[in-house]
This record gives sequence, C-alpha cells and structure tokens, in this order.
Amino acid sequence: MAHIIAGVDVGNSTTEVAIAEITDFDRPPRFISTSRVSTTGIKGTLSNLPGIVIALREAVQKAEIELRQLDLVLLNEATPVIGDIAMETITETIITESTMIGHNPASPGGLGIGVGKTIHIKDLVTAKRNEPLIVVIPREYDFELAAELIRRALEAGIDVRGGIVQADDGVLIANRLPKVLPFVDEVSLIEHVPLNMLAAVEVAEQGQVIRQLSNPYGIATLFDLSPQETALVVPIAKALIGLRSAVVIRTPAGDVQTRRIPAGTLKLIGDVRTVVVEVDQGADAIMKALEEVGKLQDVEGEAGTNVGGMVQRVRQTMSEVTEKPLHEIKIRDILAVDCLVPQRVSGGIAQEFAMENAVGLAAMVNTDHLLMERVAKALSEEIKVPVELGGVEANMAILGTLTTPGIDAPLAILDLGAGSTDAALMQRDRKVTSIHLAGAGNMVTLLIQRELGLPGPSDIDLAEQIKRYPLAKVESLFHIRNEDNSVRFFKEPLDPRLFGRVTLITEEGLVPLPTEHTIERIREVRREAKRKVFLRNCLRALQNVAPLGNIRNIDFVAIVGGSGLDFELSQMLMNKLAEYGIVVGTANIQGRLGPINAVATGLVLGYIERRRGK
Amino acid sequence: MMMAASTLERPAIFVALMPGAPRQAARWVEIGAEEEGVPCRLVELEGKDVIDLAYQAAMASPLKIGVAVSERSVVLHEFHMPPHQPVLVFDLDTDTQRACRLMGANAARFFVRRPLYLTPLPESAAPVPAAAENPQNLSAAELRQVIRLVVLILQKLREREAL
Repeated sequence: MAHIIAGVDVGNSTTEVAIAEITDFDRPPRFISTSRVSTTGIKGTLSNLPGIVIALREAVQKAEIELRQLDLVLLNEATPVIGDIAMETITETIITESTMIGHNPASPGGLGIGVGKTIHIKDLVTAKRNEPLIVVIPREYDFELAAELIRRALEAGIDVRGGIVQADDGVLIANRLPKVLPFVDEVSLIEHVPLNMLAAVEVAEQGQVIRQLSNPYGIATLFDLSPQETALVVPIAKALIGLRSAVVIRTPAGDVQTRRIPAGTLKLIGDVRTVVVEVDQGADAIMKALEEVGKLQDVEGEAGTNVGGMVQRVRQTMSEVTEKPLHEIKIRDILAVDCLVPQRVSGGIAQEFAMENAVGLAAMVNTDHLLMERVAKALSEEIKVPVELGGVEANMAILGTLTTPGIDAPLAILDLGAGSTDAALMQRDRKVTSIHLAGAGNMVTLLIQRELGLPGPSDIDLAEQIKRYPLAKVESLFHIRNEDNSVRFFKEPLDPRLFGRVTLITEEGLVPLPTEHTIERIREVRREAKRKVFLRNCLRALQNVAPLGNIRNIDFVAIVGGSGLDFELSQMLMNKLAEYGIVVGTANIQGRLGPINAVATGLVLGYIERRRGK
Repeated sequence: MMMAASTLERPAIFVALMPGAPRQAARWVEIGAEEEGVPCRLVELEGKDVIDLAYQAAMASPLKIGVAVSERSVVLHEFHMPPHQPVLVFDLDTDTQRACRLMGANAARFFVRRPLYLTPLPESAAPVPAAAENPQNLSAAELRQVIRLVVLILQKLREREAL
C-alpha cells in the first residue's frame, strides 16, 4: 500500500513543501510535487499556518490529489533560532542655525569661488561699491532680468562675486554676464538664506568636485576662522565632499557640530569569558571579541545608549514572538557590520545629507521545541491530517542535499537563508555537526536600503530587488549597458521613461530605479553588503563545524537555501573558499530543484530512514 | 544675434517650426537646451506634420536630435527612431513656455544621456513615486497604481488631442 507524505519546511522567508509517494521503505521514494510560497508571520509562530496551508494546497494540486489523501505531514523541528536585525547611526550632524547649502543641482552655472555678503537682487542697485557681494535671486526674477540687473551692477562698479538662484537658471544667468561667476541654482528654500551675511559660493568644472568648501581649512581661509571656529566647520566640509557646487554662509550665531551619539558598549557573555567592547570601535572589534568569549551565552547592551536600545528591542520582539519572559531570551549569536549611511542634516537648507557611521547588528535567539509543536498541533486540526515533527533541521538539510547528482559524504552544506546562515558537516559514521549564525539575506537587504538611503521600511522591496537583480544603464532608446560593460541592443525602441536611468534587469523587463546613484555605486554597495554578511558568516560557520576547527579540513561544500539562487553570491563564495582549497557547488535537490527545498525533501527521506530502522 | 556665422558648422540640436507655431517657441527650446549645456539652433525645414518636421530636423542635425513645434504641440525626435514614432510629445495647452523649455532640456538630456522630463506639468504632479508627497498615506503599491492610472489618463487625453 502506498503512503503519500509531505515534508514542510517553514523558513524565515519561504515555506517549502515536498510531497512523495512511498511504496516500500527499502526503496527511495518517488517525489511527485513541490511548492514554495512566502512564509506568513514570524517563523515558529501560529501565524505561519496560512502560509503552510497555501503551500500544501499548491503542492497537492500539482500532484493532482486531494489534501485529505495525505497520510502524514512532517514539519521541520523546532526552529532552533530566530533572528532580528537593527541598525543605529553612531554619529549625527546637527546645524543649529542654517549655515550651509551643500547641494548638487544638475547644472550649476559659471565656475570658480566667490566670497561676499549675501544681498537680495532687488537691493543690488543701491549696494555699496568695493564690497564683495553674493546675489540671492528668487524665482520671480527670470534669468534675463536677473542677468541684466547683475550686468548693470557690474558695469556700475559693484563687486558681484557669485549668486544663489532659486530656479533652474544658473547656467542661463552665468552665460549672459560679461565675466565668469559661480551660480548655485535650484535652491528651493531660498527664503531661508540669511541676507547681509558672509557667504562663499563654489562651482566646480564639469566632471569635477568642489575642493575649497569641502576642505575645513579651505573654509577657514575664505572666512578667516580661528582654529576653534575651524573645528566647528569640519562637519560642514564633510557633508560637502563629492558635490559639484555648494554654498556656505557664515551666520554669527551659526553653530554646526557633529554630535557623537554615545554608541555604548556591548557585553558579550561567553562560556569561557566575558568581554565588554565599545561599539564605536567598529564591527571588526566586536567580531574579534566574539571569538574570544567562546560559546556565546547572552549579550547585554549598555543601558541608555543606542546599542542598549537595539539589544533591548531585539529581546522585546523575541519575547513577544516566543511568549517567553524578557529575561529568558538569550542572544546566542550576533553579527556586527560597519556601514556608512546618508542621514539628513538637521538644520540644512536644501535637504543636505551627510554620511554618518552606523553599525548594523543581527542577533539570534534560541527558541524551544514547544513552539513548533504548537504549530504542528494547530496544523493537524486545520487540515485533518496527522502532523509530526520530523527531526533536526540541519540533518534534514543534509539528507535533502544528498539527492543532488554526483554528491557524496563527507560534505559540508551552507544553508543561506533570509534570517540565518547555517552550516552542517556530515562525515562517514559520525554525528552531523551543525551551527546557526545570525545574519543572512534580510541583513543584506537592510544594508543596501540604508547605505543607498532608499525610502523607509515600507519600500524595503526596492532594496530587496536591488539585491536580486543585475543592473543596467539605458544609454539610448535602442541599447543598454550592463554592469559588466557589455552592451545589449533592442529591435524596438525602449520606453522613453527608461532613458538615461539605471535599471534592474528582472523577469518582467527593465525596472527603472528612482534614485540618483550611479550604477557603479549601487553595484558596489550591493556586492559589499553580500560580502560583509554572507562571506563573513560562511567562513565563521565553516570554521565552526570543520574538523579540528580548521576550515582547510573541509573538502566539499554545497550551497542550499533561497540565497543560493542569488545571481552572484555562489561565484563570490567559490572565489573566497578556493583560498582554503575548498570546492564549492550549488546543490541541485532531487536533481532538478536547484538549491531550494533541501529541508522539505530531507524530512521525507529522514522519515523513511527512521521507519526502515524499526 | 548671439550666434556668429561660424556656428553653422558647430554640432547642434536642430529646432524647426510649423506654420502657426507660437512666435517665441524656438527661443524657449534653445534656452532649455542651453541650461543643460548643449548647443541648439533654429533651422528652416518643411514637414508634412509636426512629427515629420521633427524627424527632418533630427536627420539634418549633426547631433541627430531634432525638435519641432506646431500650434498645438512640441515634439522631440531622434534619427534612430521610426519616423512615425517620436521620442516624446508635449501638448502646448497649459504652459507653452514651460513645455518648450523642458523639451529643449530633454533634447539636450537625450544627447548627454540623462533621464528625461516626462511631462510638461510642474514637478509636484510629475509621476515620481519616491519623491512625491503622500498625504493619503497610501501604501507603495497603491501609490504606484494611482500613478499608473494618472499617467494612463494623461496619455489617452494626449492621444485624443493629437488625433
């Protein structure tokens, strides 16, 4: 009599199902269908049920059977870990009085540096001679009128040195003057520009960036600042790096400062020793401390600091999910990542951004078996089919991976998921060793989102898409240039909306990105995020499961999990692990599914093994 | 008067006028291109209609980019495009000066390969999902839907007028 059983793997991001028909426990099963849908709710909670049911329905439909024909459903055993991610900036730039316009309009006018007192264009006729001036030109003055007024003023001996323009008229005004002067345009909040104050306007040549105003001593030279005052303008200079045009205005009460937010300390409590590490020493210091403490038992963040808040939030979320009291939530792994994130400067005029240091932290909390048992019970009631928990996830993943053609033990697998990076090692006649580490696909998405300054969490799918798809620049209506510099031509003209834009090459065609970042920058951020999270974690994980703790003792590694589908990650891993003499390949579960469905497939195989043993 | 005779040899975007086009149109197109830093100049050409004229201008232009203005619309064309399919068309019904100036900027942007202005409407009404204000608190998906609808309606309106 044939049994039909289903393996169900609830992951952080997807729920996967494998259905198999078993006629004889001594023979391999016949897999008749699989499915993969988004996980509903946080892994390990009752809100997973809808997703599981959808996945099962989809799979039985493909197999052309009814849900009730299933004899047994096997659920992956107690998610051993759940992860959370958080990020905090550890520096912040504040301008208590507006003193700078650091601004990158597409086409500023003229060239050079001008220093003088700000003056409204209407007052130009009555201005004193021999006093250097910077003209402020609101939108009501069109470029011809503005140019005419400035030209006459210059002829009358009034010393105009540059201008700040509200409309997109900088080039037009500069082109109509008898001498070359710098004009910064598209300053939308021009009414906030203080008049009668000393200001400096700088416009760089096309293809170049400003030099003077992005240099603290440059600003000091222009404004004749004391060393104390110069220290105050450092954040301004920092925020202006890389722009083609900028204005700095000196207001008497103006005060700009970089406030160093007390980032706080992390207390890493291990079974060997406990180490306290300053977060602002950066991710490397934290990860090094982590290596020293042995097996991590818990982490505490210094109260009243950003990192304290972060650790507390992770604990809070986990406490809500697992319904365990706060003090019972123990953090069993962390991954710290340094990054530079653009932050709006508080008090700027033209929505300036400064790059601030930040630390991203992924944390992992151990849960207990009770949780998944609850899910199994509820599922059984819902679908009226017996549900069992099917064994340790890592073992199941190995069993599933072994369905890859050409693969054999000894073997290590890397399961690159959304929430955690897992590794397991299988050697002949030994117990499988495994480890779960904090930080995976979701952390990469967060890094991309924050480093590129993409809109908030509601639009996280944009970062997710950038993570998943290669880039191209639409160079004409008939061709695109891929990120590797190759060119692809089209027969039909492309949508003019795509013209000149950086796009993602998706299954649905070209998707334009609503950002100003260059293709090189986006690519760099994307690859760097993957490197910081996945490469680091893969090395950590393999080191942990490797015989004698030496990564070189591993010969073969198979990649499984959703992130194994990533278009560049497996190549990046292969390059990195080749340094250790390790051969890396992407698994092909059941000989046809690629790196996904390893655990679901393994659940079915594990069940057969157990039955055979009886 | 600003241009010397030698500019005849200089590479430039060509702009041409249909009979009945607004008098200042060519000048606004030129100004739009000037702000973006690309030379542009008026040429005498003839076309069956404004799209054909834009195509003729593009063919004649050393930069292979042409703009034509009629009483009702301003058209950007490029010589790789099929003659009947211009790159962009703006109507002149709301703000002639702005439409012509932006199309001049577009012609220049086409040459320097920067994204185009897609509508002659003021910025706030332009379909830029990320930058747009969101007073209704719509989700990103809803917002995209709304924008798609608005763009579609605008397109339909434009087509109807053009026919």
